[in-house]
Amino acid sequence: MATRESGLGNASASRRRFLKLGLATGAGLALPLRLRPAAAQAKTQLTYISYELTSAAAGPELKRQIAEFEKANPGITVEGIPTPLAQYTAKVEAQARAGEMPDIATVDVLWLRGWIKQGYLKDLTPYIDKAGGKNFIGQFYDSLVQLATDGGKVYALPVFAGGYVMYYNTELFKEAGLDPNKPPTNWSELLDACKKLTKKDTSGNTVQWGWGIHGQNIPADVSRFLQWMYSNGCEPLSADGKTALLDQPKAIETLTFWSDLYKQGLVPPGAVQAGPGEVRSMFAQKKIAMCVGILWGLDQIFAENPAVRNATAIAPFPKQVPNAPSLFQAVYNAMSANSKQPDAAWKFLDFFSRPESGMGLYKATRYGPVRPDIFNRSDVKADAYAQVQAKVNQQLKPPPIIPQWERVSKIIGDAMQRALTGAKTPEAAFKEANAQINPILKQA
Amino acid sequence: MPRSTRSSSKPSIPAVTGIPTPGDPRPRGGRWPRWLVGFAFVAPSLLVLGTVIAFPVMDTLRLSLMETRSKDQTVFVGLANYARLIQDAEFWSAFKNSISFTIGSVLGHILLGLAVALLLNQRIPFRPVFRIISLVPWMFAPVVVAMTWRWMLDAQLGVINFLLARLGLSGPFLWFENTRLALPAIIATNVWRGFPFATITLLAALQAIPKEQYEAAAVDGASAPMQFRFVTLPNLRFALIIIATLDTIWNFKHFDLIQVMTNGGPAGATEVLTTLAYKVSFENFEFGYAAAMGVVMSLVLLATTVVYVRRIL
Amino acid sequence: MIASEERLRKAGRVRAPDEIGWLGQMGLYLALAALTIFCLFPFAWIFCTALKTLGETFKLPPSWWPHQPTLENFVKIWTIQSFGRYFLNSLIISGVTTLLSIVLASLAGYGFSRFRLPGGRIAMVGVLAAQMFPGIVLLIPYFTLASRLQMLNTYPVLILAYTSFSLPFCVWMMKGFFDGIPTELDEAATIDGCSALGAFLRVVLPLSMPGVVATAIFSFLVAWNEFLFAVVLATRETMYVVTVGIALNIGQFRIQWNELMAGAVLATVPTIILYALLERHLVRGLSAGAVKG
Repeated sequence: MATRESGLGNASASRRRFLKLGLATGAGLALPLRLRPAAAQAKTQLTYISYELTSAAAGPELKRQIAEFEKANPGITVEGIPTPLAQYTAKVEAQARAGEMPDIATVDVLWLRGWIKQGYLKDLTPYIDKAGGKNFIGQFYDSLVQLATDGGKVYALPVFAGGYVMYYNTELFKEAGLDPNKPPTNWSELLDACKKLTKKDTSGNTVQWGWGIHGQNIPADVSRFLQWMYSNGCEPLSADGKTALLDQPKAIETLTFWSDLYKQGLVPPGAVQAGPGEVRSMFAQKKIAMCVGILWGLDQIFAENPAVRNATAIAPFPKQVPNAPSLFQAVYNAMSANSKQPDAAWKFLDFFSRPESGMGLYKATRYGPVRPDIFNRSDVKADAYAQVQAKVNQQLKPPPIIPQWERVSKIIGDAMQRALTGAKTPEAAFKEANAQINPILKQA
Repeated sequence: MPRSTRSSSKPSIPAVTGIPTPGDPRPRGGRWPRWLVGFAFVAPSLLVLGTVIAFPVMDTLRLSLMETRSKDQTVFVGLANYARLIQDAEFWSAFKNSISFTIGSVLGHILLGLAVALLLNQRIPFRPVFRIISLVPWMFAPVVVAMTWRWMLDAQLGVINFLLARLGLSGPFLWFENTRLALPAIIATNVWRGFPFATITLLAALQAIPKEQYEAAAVDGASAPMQFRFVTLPNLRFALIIIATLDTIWNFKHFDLIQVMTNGGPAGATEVLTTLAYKVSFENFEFGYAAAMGVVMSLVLLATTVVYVRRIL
Repeated sequence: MIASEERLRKAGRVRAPDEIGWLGQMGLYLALAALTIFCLFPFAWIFCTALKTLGETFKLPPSWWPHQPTLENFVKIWTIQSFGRYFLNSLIISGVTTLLSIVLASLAGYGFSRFRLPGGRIAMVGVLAAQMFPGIVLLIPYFTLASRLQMLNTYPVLILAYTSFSLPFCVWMMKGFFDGIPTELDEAATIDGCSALGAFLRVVLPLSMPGVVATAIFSFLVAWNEFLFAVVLATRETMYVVTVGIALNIGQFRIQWNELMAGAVLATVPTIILYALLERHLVRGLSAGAVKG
């Protein structure tokens, strides 16, 4: 057999090669099959899944607090599971439906109702009662707790929240001849300021715009648009969540004013692509002078352009009707329905609800406190931004609290984009959205 | 093709013709019947595919006949999900987008891939370097490609618009805002990302074409384009069909790139069946409906595949 | 035949297949330059961003080479973001997937090519059909299956999934290559006393190296770049792979571009190494075919 030409390959070499491949494959498959810790353990291990664990600011602070928690509870260890946001719901839901959801999960207010209805989360009311009932739960803003409550049972505890505010650049205000201490308080002042703050250079290209629009079809951007609606005294759905109200005159008026800002060239082109990160970037680069913002977005701006720190101020969003509320964004911690160590998980939730936790998070990330008492602490009071936020938080209104909100939000986002691009008139866009939303609301 | 004899020169590298030289049915005198031996070769692969795919597929079929009310509650609804699909405008719009995305991507991959493969098949200096260069787009995960191109095509901050403006083309191009630009932008990104697969496969196939065929054609007086048509292409037929089939399947069910780049926006202009199924599942909690979508997608792909593959079976 | 060719060539009437004039040469170099720019332009962007600080990243006009290049992003992902662990996981999973794919696909390709199997055609279409369900729909059933088998968070669950993703192409590819090898070679081997496996290993497989290489690179990349299954099936951070590690930089409030790009750059290194190692096997076919049989 070895008389074959070498072109046919060295016989034993190729067999050896193949055998090696086979062995390597087998070895690879036999690699440690389990990476879970051994079954019998003195310590209870909690798993905590969150998209916050990877954030540049919040991640280290959360890890620090987790370490503190473990020290205070020697029998418990916590394993954090950071997960990218865009795939977060898929991962958690797959786990929940297979009965493998981690003990504690971060839940955004937008998914909260849906997740409660689907049965992913555990009812916390017995634990809350043991911890003091109303005394315990009363520490948080009422509107936040209300959103986590279904049928009288509380399913999640708020971690951070904040009403929307308006960022504005005081330096650009001064350059445009506006008083930096008097940001616009209603829409006509806003329009006026936008016009003054939009500047062209010598060749006629706009280099600075008055306003930044969030136009992506993501819940965060739709929420920012809803802030406009709230400040105009209207809302997308009726209070009972059964009827869509987008065809009302005030709603259409809001969409018209908002998209007109874009059409008049007071907003940078490409608004449909601009999410919170992009708009903050533009603000940091001084391309826009004002936009809707959230308290904890400031850190991104300062990180990107430290020079703009002194010129950045926040103000309540201009109210078109008196006493208009602010929409708020909120994030909760919840326990999974299939958790095997609910008592330990409750200790974790309890730990993160203490004022010290909220304070630590605020200091590290400027995530809005969920307890009014934090705003009264002297070091927080001294912060100009916190003062404005405290005022804004006095008039908060939740986003619509229905399980189908994500779906409805997508339809509203579509309408927003159609109005922006001019594909439809604002009236037609909202009327169409209304027609699409009403059947969905009937389904609940 | 000349017969090789046992003891003489190296046999030429086979062309990937796809035309089976029929196996000899005469028993070799071994212990086992021939078909069993053949089955032994094939069985491990079938086993892996069967175990990994079979159960999930069965489960999906079952789920498509259900409606999910909550985590633990499903209700049998028969074919109601399918009936609903037929009337769902969003479904048909996504279907159309999926088809556009697939056709655009596959054509782009094959044309560009073939062109580059032909180029790399020539005698060029530093050929291995250029081969690696042409492989670079394929090395990145779709997530990275999507993020990078999303940023490069950003209306305000993107480098592409910056360069286009420098070249004098008017107006910032709103790649992701213009409903007519968004899908082409995504297709272009996908073509950039995926063409190396076609290149590397076609290159392997090109190199397996025996030089004698070219020389024979040249002697017969064929010009270069004619050689391409009568020597190159027929030899590439099998590879091309395989690439087209698999690329169609992969692009039709592609998810990562589109979700990260536009997530279906603006206003559904880039919503494809996979992103729609994702939303229906994880945002609307309608897992049964999404399963029905998945089944329909698979049937479409099955039909397409059978059409392609009949030519080479 | 050779003599007459020579004469014709000298007479200028016929071109050898790889002779081209100077115009063609220029066109060739132009095409190569275009190819290089086309392929490397975004990569250059990625590479430069990985070396920038955050402040420099968003400046307009965009700068190419950073004014203050820094390696801090690479350090950050390695130390703060556990990139090393992700890298190791990726290597193991992708490596074993590649080996498994090569072994299984070449065996199956040979089986389909050489043997008339009952239901063989259906099996071949079935191999392709395994690919037809979109991942997003199979995700939860596969997750549930893995969970019931207590196989979540293990290497095999991902290896098997990725192998099933790459097998259809690999099997068909190898079959195609084998089909082009005349069966006389197999027969010669078996006449000499080889079993079918022996004929396969000694005679047919070595001749199909280009196919094996294409299969290897393909399955490595399928495994290395897979994202959705990697995110969902790895329920603990210890099982995360490189693609997930990179995506962790896409945060709720901002995207950490510099770290993301740094991760992307590091992620391409194994692929480049693998390709550089295997490249010459793609070329072997050319030289072997030059000798007239």
